[in-house]
Amino acid sequence: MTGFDNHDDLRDLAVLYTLGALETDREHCEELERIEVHLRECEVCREEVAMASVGTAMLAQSAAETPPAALKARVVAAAGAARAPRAPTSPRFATWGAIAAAIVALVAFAMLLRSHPSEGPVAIELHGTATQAAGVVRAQGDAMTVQVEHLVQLPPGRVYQLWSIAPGAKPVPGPTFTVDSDGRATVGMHAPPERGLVIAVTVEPQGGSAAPTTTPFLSGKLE
Amino acid sequence: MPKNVDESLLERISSGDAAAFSALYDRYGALVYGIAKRILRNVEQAEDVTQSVFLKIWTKPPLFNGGSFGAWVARVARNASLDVLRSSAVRLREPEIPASLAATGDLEDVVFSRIDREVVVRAVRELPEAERTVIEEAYFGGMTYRQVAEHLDAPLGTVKTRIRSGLQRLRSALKEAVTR
Repeated sequence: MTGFDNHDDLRDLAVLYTLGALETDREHCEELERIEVHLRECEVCREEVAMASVGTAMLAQSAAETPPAALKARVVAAAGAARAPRAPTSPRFATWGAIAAAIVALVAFAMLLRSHPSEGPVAIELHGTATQAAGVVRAQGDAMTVQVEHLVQLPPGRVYQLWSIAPGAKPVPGPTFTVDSDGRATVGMHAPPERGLVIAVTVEPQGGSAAPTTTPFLSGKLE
Repeated sequence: MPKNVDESLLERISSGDAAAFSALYDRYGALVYGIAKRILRNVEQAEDVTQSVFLKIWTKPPLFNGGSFGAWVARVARNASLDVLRSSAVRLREPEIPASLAATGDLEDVVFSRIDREVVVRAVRELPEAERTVIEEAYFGGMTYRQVAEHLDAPLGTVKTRIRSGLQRLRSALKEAVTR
């Protein structure tokens, strides 16, 4: 049932919305959209969101756990290899920045045009250099989902690692991953979808590397 | 004020200040990693999500547009983890709760920055089991309330009531701890 017979239903939706317990599939998110509209005009339900926000924060914080010490070094190294945030620029450079942003937006739009209706936009197909390994990268903005198949199980201490390589730039380390018993994996990563962007996969030591230590065996380019 | 500390760090990160990035990781690395690990139940994937979330902050600090940074980064970590968990390319319409809606004084920042984590853990642990189960299945299991109801074979209304009651109880526990 998705009808809203009384205000208590909406108040409950405000709480579920805050906790993240409403359907988010774009084809079935009627309740989510309904409550977002309602919240613009209802102070009572906004107070429900405020109440639920604190409870949800408590829940999130209850899960906090000190990460492995090596993770900080890995994250900082990855940030060092990634493109640093832009410092404030002069008007002239700001103009070029706007042009660059427009180009990125156009590329993203072009990717959307290539999308398969039921599977999301296909950005890059990955092909193996000497194996049957293959994969596909689906992207929405800079959020990418990489799906690979026909990869072998690696020995202990070795993992697969994704890389994003912008034209003329150094490889930026992505997440490491392992594959299931069928040789498949699905991994999320972020990279600006600019033309010529290469997504590659290498084999690296456990924990990943700041720069590739082996030759990519799987790669593809955004044309 | 911790809130200003976060905003100050993000401003410095916007200028490429690696020391500020390191400091922000020290403040929120445990939150992001903990949420990811709880959802994914896999250390390697949790590490990957943590790296991905912080790289997002490093390359696009303006994505955070006010309110409690802790609450925002917790949502980002949860969504990123659920994306991995769902292992699908289904496009989701993730809610973007406006900062103005979630404004509750400094209560969210109190949760993330100014109260002993053990107080928070205890408050969650001491929830009635029926309430804790539904809110944890929804939040960490990535289930909608309908899926929770189906999973527990409970009426929708019961699940909604337990979720609301549990969250209210958590806020009350926080207020009590703050005023103690």
